[in-house]
Amino acid sequence: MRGLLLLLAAGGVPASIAAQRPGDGVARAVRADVVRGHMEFLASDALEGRGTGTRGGEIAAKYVAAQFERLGLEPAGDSGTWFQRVPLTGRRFTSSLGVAGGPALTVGTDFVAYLPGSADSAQVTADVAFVGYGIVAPEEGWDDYRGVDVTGKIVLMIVGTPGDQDTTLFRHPARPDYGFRQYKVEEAARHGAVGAFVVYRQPYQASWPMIADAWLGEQLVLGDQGAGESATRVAGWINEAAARSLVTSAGEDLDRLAAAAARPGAPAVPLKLTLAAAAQGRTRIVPTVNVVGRLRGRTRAAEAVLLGAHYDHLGIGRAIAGDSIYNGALDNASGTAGMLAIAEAFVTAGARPDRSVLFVAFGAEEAGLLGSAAFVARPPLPLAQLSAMLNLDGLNVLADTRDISALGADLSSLGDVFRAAATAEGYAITDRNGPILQEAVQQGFFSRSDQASFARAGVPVAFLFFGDRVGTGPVGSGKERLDDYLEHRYHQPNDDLHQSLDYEAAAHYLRVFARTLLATANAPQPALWNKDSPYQRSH
Amino acid sequence: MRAGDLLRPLGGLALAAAMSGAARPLCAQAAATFPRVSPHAIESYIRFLADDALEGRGTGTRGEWVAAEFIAAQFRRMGLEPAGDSGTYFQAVELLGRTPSPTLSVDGAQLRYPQDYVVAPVTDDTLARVAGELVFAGYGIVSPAHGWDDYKDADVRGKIVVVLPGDPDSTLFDRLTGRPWIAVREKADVAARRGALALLVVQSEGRGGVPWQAVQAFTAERISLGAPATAVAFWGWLSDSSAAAIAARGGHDLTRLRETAGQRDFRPIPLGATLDAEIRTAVRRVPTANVVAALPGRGPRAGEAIVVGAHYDHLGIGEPVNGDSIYNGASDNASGVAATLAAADAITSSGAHPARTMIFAAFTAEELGLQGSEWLVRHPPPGLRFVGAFAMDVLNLYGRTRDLGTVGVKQSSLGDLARKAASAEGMTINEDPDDLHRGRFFRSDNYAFARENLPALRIVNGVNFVGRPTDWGREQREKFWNERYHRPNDELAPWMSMDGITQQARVLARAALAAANAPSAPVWTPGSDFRTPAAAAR
Repeated sequence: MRGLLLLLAAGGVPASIAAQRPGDGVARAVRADVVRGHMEFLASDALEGRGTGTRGGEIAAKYVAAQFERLGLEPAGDSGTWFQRVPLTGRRFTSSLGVAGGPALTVGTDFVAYLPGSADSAQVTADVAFVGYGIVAPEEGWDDYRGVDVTGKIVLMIVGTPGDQDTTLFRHPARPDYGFRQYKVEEAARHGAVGAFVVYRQPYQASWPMIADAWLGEQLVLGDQGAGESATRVAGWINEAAARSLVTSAGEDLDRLAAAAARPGAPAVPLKLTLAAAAQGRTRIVPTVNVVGRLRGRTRAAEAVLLGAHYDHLGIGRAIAGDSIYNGALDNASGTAGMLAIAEAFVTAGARPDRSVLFVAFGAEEAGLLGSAAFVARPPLPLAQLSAMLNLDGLNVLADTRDISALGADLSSLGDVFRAAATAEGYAITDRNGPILQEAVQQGFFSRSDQASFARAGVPVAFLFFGDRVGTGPVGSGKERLDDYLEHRYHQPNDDLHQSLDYEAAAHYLRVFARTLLATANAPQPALWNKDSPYQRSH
Repeated sequence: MRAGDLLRPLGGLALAAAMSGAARPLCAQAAATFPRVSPHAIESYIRFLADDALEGRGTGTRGEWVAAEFIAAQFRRMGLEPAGDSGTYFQAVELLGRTPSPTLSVDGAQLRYPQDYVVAPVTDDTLARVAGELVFAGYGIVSPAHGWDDYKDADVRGKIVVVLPGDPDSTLFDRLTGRPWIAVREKADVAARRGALALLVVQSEGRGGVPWQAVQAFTAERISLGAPATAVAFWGWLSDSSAAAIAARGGHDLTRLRETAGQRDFRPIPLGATLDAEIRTAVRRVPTANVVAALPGRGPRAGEAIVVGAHYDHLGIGEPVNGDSIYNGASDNASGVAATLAAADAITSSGAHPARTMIFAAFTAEELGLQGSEWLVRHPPPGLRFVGAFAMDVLNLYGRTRDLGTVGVKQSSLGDLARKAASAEGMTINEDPDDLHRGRFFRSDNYAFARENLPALRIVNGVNFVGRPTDWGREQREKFWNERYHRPNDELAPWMSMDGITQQARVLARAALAAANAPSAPVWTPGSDFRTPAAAAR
């Protein structure tokens, strides 16, 4: 069965035999060479890592627009152009932190700090409370703020979730971002804390130097939203060693506090510690865009299905092994190339689905899903008309697998559509409790790319993810490949074209998404969230 | 499209290697739709390549690099095979920037630089010492096709040849599409093959020479390829008065020499003087590349290659005009690249497997003197021998025409293929005298192939526009040359139309595929200077 499908996909079979099922035409038209060509351009050193607001980023956006134009899509950005403006503000912070009246910590080494609100500067001196993981999760019966009033205080909490220490906890959290700094600081603000610091420790997917580099550099925020007001006036990260000595000076032990934090019902701990924190911000406008092309639907053109991929990456940064260009080949030249390859397949196969298809290359994803946030804030069509959003971020260009998965698909009717598409391409569906999807939960992958912006806005989503069995390898061999990438190349200059890349595998994966996209665009009903999904349509 | 016209000799060609398999021009289904050319695609290529973000694609700049990556990505997308260096689409072109500091003396008396002479170093060395007797070789022309040989049996090995610019008589040679004897490069080629050490042209304004003012440009840096195997150490110009003084030293009169030189029975005349030259040259590398892809041929003729190419470089960032300093080069030559890509797309998507290999190429450094195309001619991809070339430079962004413009249509059998291809598109072939008189046969990459005796046709714009008055086409062309050529406003404008260039790309796809499948390789028309193989021609 699988052999026959591969043969069909490779072309050379007469159309009359091949075109047996809807989707066969577009699937067959997805070509590995197309993925490779686009990826080689976008990940070349000439594009300088496609940093947001940089020349390389601008060239990448114009490249995507040129490809849309070549394919004969319609421009669907601002006022008849391919480009939707993403109004970004860049902020750079200078900061200080230390025990009140005591020695200052070293910025970059010991801590980084920023202004969560829109103020240009803030200074707070306040007592500190340790609030465990800083999570309030009713569905888990979890509340790290229970029985403590942190109003006017500085809260200290550890990164991640209790699931990091006790795997029976937080297995299927309602919010996949409980482990992240942004959620924790927002929760602290809801409880009236004037300062909020997350203690960096392992396990966490980023290293301390990555975090320090990011926060010492420019922070991008969506200008339309503004930073807004926040009760928390200064926030940031404290490195584990610095946090340990602060906690020790208050007569406590960080490891004991951290261990206690994973125990259900553990109370918050007021510390005999007063911290002084201050930060100043400088602001500038950073120009960037989303690129939007439309294949007009045949019968319901006003409705649409969206296939997206972010085109930005990290630009030029700290040199590692003499290389300062962060090419972002997998992240996300691959996804952008995949999106373009599917667009080309629709055009060359002559597919004209009932609904329109929006092909979107998002900017400023690496800065916090800002391009997609701008898109849902100011969509080119009412979100009620948007049936579904399919996302490509980190396409599997590593090695083909026997199984395949799509994060978020099972929260909606897209799950069935995806499964049918996967089956048509000879893939099994990856076990939800298998190693790679458990890793996806642990690392919060669902909330870490643009589909999260759409899910929050109520649009059903599917994020094409990896499978767990490479070739004839055992369950877990897929996770090994992904882990190897995440540990050695992710967000590093060597995520480039020199790594081993399998474009046929990528094309095979894309055929599943091409089928999913076509079926969703032709479905009688728009995609529907399951009743028990934490996300629902609000529009 | 380049402004200047002074070029240098080439090396040999690689041998053919036949490849197995069977040629398939087109399957029946594909033939019905061939050639599939999308105006959207052409416009998208031009828009991207001529965008300000590409900063005018100056040779060796980051904008040119982005353009090269863009073209390579399109070749990859089409499924063409890489035909550049070590499995990539990029063929590094070894360009050198040379700035000369020469000292020339005749019989011990030092000439004044740059009042008396200028030189263009050809050698890769930073210091060249050359000494030899001066020999006057008339116009320095050897053209078997026209029964003309200024060298006769004279032995100029180890000597320094002095020649007159241009040719003796407007009726003797084909000045429009024949070998351009006005080019110093051609005279230097002949001298080098005869074993001469160097070549000096007597500057004679109004007698086929360029103005002394223009010659003075050679005191600055000149960017060109490294020296080929057979080359003079330098070429240069002597001012009229210094040439007269040198002649007088050996008892010769320059005016008398000029008269003698115009005769068919002219023989070289030793001038009775010795030239010593010491040329120090500051040399730097200019990194750049051609972008080269192959559609492999099938069968016994697969080792022969038809080239379809256009230059992708332009002038980069330069002097601002009306506040704009980016020389976008939309017509020159994003348009030619776009047509090349469109033809490649039409041919690959048709599923054709031609008998000969088709090489699709984007040339660098054309604006610096056809350097990229010359490099490709010198360095064909392994196992291939070039047999013909189509070059596109400045195409039609104004609308549909009834005629296809060509330069060199009568010079080789490629002209007939173009005529048939145009006819299949309902068009006629036109070779406008104005294009010929402006030397357009020599001013683009087709000439780099022709110089090495490879039949080459340049496609340019027709003049007979559908729905326009008779003179409209020529007016548009004049407007371009006078108002936008080599200026920052050579940009893609909303009033432009992709209909004309789409026609050109369709004809190109047909003609190139026909050349790749023709029973015999392209040949020059009898009587052409370019007809005979390189070795015998000079």
